Amino acid sequence: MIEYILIAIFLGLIAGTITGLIPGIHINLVALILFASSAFFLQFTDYFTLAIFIVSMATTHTFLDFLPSIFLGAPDEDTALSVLPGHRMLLKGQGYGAIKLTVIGSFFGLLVAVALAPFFIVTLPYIYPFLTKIIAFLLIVIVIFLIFKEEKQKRFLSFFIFILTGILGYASLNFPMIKQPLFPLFTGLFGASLLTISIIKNVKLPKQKIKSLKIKKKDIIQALGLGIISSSIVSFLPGIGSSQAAVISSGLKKIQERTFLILLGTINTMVMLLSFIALFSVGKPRTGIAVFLGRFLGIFSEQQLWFFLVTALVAGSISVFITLLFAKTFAKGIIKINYKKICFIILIFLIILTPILSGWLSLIILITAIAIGITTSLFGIRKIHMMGCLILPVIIWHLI
Amino acid sequence: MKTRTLLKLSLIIALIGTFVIVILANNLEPNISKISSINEKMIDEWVRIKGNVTNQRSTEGLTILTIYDGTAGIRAIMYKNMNEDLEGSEIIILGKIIIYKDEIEIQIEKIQT
Repeated sequence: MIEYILIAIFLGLIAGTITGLIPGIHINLVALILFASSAFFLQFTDYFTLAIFIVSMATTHTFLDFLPSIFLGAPDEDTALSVLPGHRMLLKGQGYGAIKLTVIGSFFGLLVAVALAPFFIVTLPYIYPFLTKIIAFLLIVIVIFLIFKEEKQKRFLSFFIFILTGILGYASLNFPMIKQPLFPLFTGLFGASLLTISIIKNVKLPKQKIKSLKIKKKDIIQALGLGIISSSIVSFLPGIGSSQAAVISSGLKKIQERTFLILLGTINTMVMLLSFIALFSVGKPRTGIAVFLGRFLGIFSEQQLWFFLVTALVAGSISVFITLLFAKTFAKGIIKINYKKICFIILIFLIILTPILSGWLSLIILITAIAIGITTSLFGIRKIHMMGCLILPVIIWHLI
Repeated sequence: MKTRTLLKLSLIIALIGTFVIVILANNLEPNISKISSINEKMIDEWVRIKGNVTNQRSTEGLTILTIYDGTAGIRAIMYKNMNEDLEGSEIIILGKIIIYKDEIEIQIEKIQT
């Protein structure tokens, strides 16, 4: 039994590394393939071991998926907000440092989620109904707060971008001819728009430094505090996840770029782990991966939950080294090639991948999203307002 | 390209693109599928089916319909109570494929009677 579990963790590490590194390949897709072909795998093993594989893969993915986001400007919906601060650090020769910050955040987020698991298991059934009632109002207050944080003359522009992306997001999510609408939406708004600007402005990358970045304890504690609050709010509610948690955190306290990257790592990993706890505690799957865990095991025991959390700890600890190793390789390799060429190749790759994953019509979403991303950059306002693409649909969904 | 020209261009594409997507999202629907062709690989995909309602029941805030189209039957759910009695009538529904307790279901977004 134990050897099967170790093999499952190992294979999960490999699968999570692949899904994390390649833009557009989501862990849900691997879980779906595994689910569809489970009859084959069950000849050699059982549902619990398959679930261990899923947990290991999902945890590893939350560490690795910042790499394409920061180095290549190709994010998924969980890492979209890391593109800009990460890219700014990349332009200063600190791409490796940016990844290190997200890794620190992810690792501490992992530890905190496991440490607080007993608390969540007990309290969740009581706070869940309350959170469901207040989430729409909380998001409205935070959006208003974020708009008012901009300079006076930029507030209308921020509101305009929030509404425009909100309409685009709502229409895309309710577009019956589009599969996985979040892919063209987030790729366009946060990744491809940045790549296009880099090509137009002929951005050149400086030599990347691999030396240790000085990180203050205060930054880690601040990021963890905000991460715990926001992840706890979003992890147990339907239709919202890491991106909304980052928006909530930004509304709670003004933080520096470095702290923000630690925070994003914390949220990304915590939300994943808390979704396992939510599945056990209130029986509601809150991430795609939790949906598959539920399908594999139905209702699972507290002992099995702890097995999952320990699996996440093991996979997460190893992922720290895997992520830093790849970050080092990326940092050394990226300056050997003309950055404009890399941006161009990735942009073409994303444009080809979009119709494959989401259908031909999704190209209209991609082009529109790129245009909004460029507009937002040229307006000189924060990219967080583009989160309207997910926040507005959630507000509408909870209020109607 | 001048920044001002780029801004104008991107803003125009952003506005026209959003408008086009809203129009398309409201007017384009998938072709009608046979219920027998629906499988668990289609989770989260949109489908449109046409069939007879053989059973209708409501619980708090939820309506559950059972639909047959001659090839197979499927359960379709809607997150609101429906006053209209559809049992015995032919309907077309648009919705997303979901799995609930190991059963494939359709989460209804639109019903045409």
